[in-house]
Amino acid sequence: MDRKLTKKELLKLVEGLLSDFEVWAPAGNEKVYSFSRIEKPEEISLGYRNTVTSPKNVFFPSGETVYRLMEGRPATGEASEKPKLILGIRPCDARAFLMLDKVFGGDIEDTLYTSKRNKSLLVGIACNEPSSTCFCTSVGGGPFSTDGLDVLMVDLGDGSYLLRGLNGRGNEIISKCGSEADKASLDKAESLDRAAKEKMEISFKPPDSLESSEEYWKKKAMACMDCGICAFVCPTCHCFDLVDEGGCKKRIWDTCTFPLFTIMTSGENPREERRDRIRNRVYHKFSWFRQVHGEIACVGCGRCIASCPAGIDITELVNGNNK
Amino acid sequence: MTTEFEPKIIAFLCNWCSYAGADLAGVSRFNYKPNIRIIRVPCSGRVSPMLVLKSLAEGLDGVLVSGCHPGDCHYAEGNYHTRRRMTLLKKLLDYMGIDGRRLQLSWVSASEGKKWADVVNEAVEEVRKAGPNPFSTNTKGSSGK
Amino acid sequence: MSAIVDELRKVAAGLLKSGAVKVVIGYENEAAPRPVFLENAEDAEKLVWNDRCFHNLARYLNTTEGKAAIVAKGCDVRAVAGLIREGQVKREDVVIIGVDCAAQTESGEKLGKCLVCDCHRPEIYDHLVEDENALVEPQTDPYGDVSEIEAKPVEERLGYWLGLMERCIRCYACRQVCPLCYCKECVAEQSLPKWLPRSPDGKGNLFFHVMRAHHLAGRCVDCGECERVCPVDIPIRTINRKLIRDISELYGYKAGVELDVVPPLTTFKPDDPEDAFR
Repeated sequence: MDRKLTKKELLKLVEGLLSDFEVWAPAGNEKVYSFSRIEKPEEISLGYRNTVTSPKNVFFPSGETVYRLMEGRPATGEASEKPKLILGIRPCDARAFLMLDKVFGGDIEDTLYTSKRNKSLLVGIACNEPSSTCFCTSVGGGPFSTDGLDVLMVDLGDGSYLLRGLNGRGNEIISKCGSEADKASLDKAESLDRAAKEKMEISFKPPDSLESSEEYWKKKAMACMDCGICAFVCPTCHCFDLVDEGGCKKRIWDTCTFPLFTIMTSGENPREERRDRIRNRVYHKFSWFRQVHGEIACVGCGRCIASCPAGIDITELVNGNNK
Repeated sequence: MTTEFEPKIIAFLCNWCSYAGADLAGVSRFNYKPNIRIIRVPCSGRVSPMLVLKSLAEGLDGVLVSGCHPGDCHYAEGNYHTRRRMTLLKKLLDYMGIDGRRLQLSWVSASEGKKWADVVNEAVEEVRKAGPNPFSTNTKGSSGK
Repeated sequence: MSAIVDELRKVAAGLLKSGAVKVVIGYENEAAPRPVFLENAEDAEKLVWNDRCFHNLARYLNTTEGKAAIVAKGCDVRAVAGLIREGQVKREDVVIIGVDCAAQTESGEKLGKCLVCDCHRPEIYDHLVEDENALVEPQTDPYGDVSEIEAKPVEERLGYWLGLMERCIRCYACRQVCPLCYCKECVAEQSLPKWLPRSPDGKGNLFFHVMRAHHLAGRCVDCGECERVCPVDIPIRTINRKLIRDISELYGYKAGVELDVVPPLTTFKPDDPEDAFR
């Protein structure tokens, strides 16, 4: 189903959604840092290119109670009554959730994640203007990709939006708003899609086997400072640590780029060297995840490239000396 | 029914002066407010700023650090280091909105039982003014009892 | 090709060719400079210099092997001095290639630290790449940002900082990029004893930043790297500068300027101010 909405009609649609859903969206007038919970439609900012951090915090918060030690009970099933809806999510981030679903919803279900994720709706917005760090088309996605989305919005540039329902639930929420999309709008959306793909500055084919020499990774990792920016802004990184705090067992984000990530009680640290940590992160995304789940665990959002304080570019690491 | 907020304060006292001063206050039967919990340390220089921060992060309303008067340190210069360290920490806490009044500092010698009683009473009032610790997990504020 | 870049490359090539150093730490990539580690004299051609060479390369001094030469701005040199003063690097093991720097700019605007910079020419160096145009006077009140926050009532200050701290994701980039934060294990991550909450909520983040600032008291050289790298734009420098100003007022000390002055928190004077004590 394709509907055409004016900005005003879109705000009205959001207002209606607020009563049935817990709505998360990029908000604020300044730089948009993250997806936050929305109370009023006007808070939403759709003019951003990409948020600094990914929306993974909606289903996988940076800090979350797992078990209440003092009460002796797990904290599962404490998700809010309303299903969650992420509005204005970029296609790359929506694809990332399909990957997180495989990790948290596999044979062993992570109910903290799935209780939030189940019944959730993703209303995406297509990328008319990819950033200079974007490379989604190189890893199987695209600026207008619909993977994982229920509705895709396209900013037609003239103050109106094209909303495309992609499944039953998606169609349901947009069925009553705006008007039937005309041919001109559909054509416009198609040309925007083509233009966006052409604007993509980075393009490569991920190699089947990555560089493995120690020397290579040592050189590439020299500038890394062992911070966690790349993993914490990444929509697919999903490692966590458990800590005891305030009478609760909590899980907090963790990353293989931290030197202490693999340290054991004995003091032994199998990934003490920086080259091993960087290699691990790239291998996990571009090799091991592919072996296990059949796809690359990188959606090309480019956040790690944009935020890395040392100017490390994951596409360079992947392409090795071939580039 | 509303009851007045009773701050809970942790006090780090140096073994040689302030702890003995507090002892003297007890022996001399001076009355002072019951809001403090004392921990004896070898020297006020032993009090790492981390102890202060942890106390506040755990939800205590105030921290009192007390040592020998400058020049009287049992270890010659421990309290001189305390003086610089804690002065800066107090200013920093205030700057960050945690409220500098939550960190109370004093010099109390072994012979100053009366001063100890006064220091505690004043410290409790100062922390009371700062109010309940905003980071206490007990939302009603910690009770002094 | 500017004369500055030319000279930089010449100095670097000379040092590598003669074997005086094993590695030269500098900047590469004209469009978006980033750290580079050169081991061969021929590679000296890679070196660049412009107003976007943000990184404080002193951070890499104790992670590279062997004697190193470092391309350093005035603020970076202060960090090198700090590392030498604290015994992390030996003076004879580092060759400082100082570069006169007017300011670093982001989207055409000078960085906050550069507006108040008083070290356009490095104070300590082995080679100096001069640029007379770089020696400009500081523009603004150096502690205006600090005074502004101090003027707020205490509850408002808490709200201000908590609002910012809630954005913090604990990537620890501020700590990792800091040349003076070289502890192998940070108290933020210690579990026995567990000093501070590790949860990335307002409270945990606030205490982390208070702790970090206090550990840098008298050591922070205000190179501003913590603030630059912060992905969520927390004004971390403003926290450190509060202590920089207090220390300068109370104890008359400035970090990273002289190699033989004892840092303020490892020493004392019998008549230090003690207004805070009863």
